[in-house]
Amino acid sequence: MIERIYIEREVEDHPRTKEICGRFPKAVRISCERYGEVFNRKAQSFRLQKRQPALVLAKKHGATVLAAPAGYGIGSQENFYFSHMLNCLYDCRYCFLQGMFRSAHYLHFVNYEDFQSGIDEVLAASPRAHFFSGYDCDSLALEQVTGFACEFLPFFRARPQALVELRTKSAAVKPLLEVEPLANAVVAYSFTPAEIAEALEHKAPPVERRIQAMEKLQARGWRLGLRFDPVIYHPSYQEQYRQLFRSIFERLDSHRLHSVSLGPFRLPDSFFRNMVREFPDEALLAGPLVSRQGRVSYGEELEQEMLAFIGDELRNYIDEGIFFPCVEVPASCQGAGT
Amino acid sequence: MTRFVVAMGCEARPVIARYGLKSVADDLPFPVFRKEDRWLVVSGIGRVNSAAATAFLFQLSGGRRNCGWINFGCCGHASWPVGEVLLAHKLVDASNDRSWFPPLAFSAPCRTSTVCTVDRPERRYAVDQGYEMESVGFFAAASRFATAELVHCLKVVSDGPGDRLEQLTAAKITSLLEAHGDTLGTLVTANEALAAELLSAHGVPAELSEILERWHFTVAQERQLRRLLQRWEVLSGGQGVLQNLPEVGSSSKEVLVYLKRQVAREAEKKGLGEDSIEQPAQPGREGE
Ligand code: SF4
Repeated sequence: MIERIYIEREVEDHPRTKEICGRFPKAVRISCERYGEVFNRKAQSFRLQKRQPALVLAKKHGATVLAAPAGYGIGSQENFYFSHMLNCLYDCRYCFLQGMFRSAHYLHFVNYEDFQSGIDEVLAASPRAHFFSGYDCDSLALEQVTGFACEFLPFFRARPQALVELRTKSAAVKPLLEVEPLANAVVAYSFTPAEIAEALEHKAPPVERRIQAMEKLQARGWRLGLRFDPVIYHPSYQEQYRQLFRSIFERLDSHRLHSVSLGPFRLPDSFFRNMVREFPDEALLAGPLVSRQGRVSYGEELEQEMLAFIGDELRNYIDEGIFFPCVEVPASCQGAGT
Repeated sequence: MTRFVVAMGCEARPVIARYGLKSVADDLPFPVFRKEDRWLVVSGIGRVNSAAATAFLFQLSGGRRNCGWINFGCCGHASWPVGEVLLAHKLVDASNDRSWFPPLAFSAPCRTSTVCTVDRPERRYAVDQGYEMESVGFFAAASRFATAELVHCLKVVSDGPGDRLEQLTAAKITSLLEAHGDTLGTLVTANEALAAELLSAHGVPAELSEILERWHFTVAQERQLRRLLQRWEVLSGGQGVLQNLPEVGSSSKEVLVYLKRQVAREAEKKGLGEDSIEQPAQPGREGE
């Protein structure tokens, strides 16, 4: 799966580097001074690299935990995010990562200890803060490589007032099923209707498998979230979303859900331009999108119509108290949409 | 759609034979060979020659971006046996320690290694890597003409510590390289598949040149036109738009307005949304 591993010289001897390299004994190891020599250089093609991404192991310098933009959250006023990884195993055509980076390599920061210190610093001032981990990647898709959940769940278990969200489309939930569920963790699954997922969410587990994974997690006692973000238009979107909700809510106990959120398809203009540059032949990007206030999205009327319809449908299944429909957030705070 | 850059005639011979290339002309600054869309230039030894020949071949072969570029030749290696072939995964410039990392978007057709470009034949072999005299110059130049995933250095080990370079004849080099014709072939095929993917995605819309001949567009308008035609092709499944254009009047502005309407109509027809099509303008592709 991983044929090449680029390793920053500074983390060559880091225990996590050694552990990861040990998992891929056949991968070629290539040393570099800084990940910037490999990742996001000019004259690289996200589209081509996505065919066979390499793994880059590096150290995250500077701030490891950042404040989430206003409006981003699931019930707290104090929201933060951190990215132990940039890029994703999956390849959703609406994902902003493909507009943000020229590289599709998986850039993994191995210095978890610095992320954890950063989180503790935040908690010293905001003990009930919420932390989002799936902002620039899928939280669980590369768990086999990163051991992220295995490392951070015990960390958050020891900090019960905080809350961590693992946002994912991954159906590989064995590591979560093997441990005692955390009361202060939310495993949040994002969905588009099955037809849209098939057309746009390349390499991601199909909707049905995500639902199956959620069933297992709920049965095990995990707190779950649902993320319908971004909402993608289709002439039959109303029926598609109705069908999606039927499939989900006939299998999951909606009273035990932690939160449900909803958000429109939106991208910063510059990311959109980069995405079109990489995928000029993608129908989603050739469609009738508009640029307003620095972001590209569906026309306002259509966007409102879709959000209102889907929101109303959702309210048939869930309590208002756990519903977090999109408040007007800047496009830059969308997260990867995972 | 491959551009080969080799340092010496004896390194060119296996490529010329494999791909049936023919000399292009006698009076060029570098010997150039070609068959259809595969071109080869013989640069001479050294990084500067390699960079100059790469730039020359880019122009001579039509200046098309995102073709496959391959530097094929021999190298010394600190530990690998003579006759082994390698694809470079890292290039080091010995003169300043700068590094490049050719991204591999396919499974390598052979083992990969770091390759260090030196200015004189290497005698010390202090680091376990390949040594030669062109790759850095080639890569720096070629990656201005193609995305780096399409630029590769394939080297066959011809010597190592203790070997006497004087004994390395042209015939020996040719035969070492010939032995890896299939590895070269696999690399060329993989690289051309990537180049073809980009070409088909970024190809010039079918009707662009005809429209540009009939109306005058500013640079910014031409960009808009190109994207509108791309969008039209994607949404209409490749139908032509040109047959109705004569009715739209004489100015380029009118052509753009007409096309915007057509794209919006097509999107609506497909049920993709409302008649609202003001996407942000696309800047030119890098380097254009
Ligand atoms: S949207 Fe999420 S799952 Fe899809 S590619 Fe982006 S990060 Fe991965």
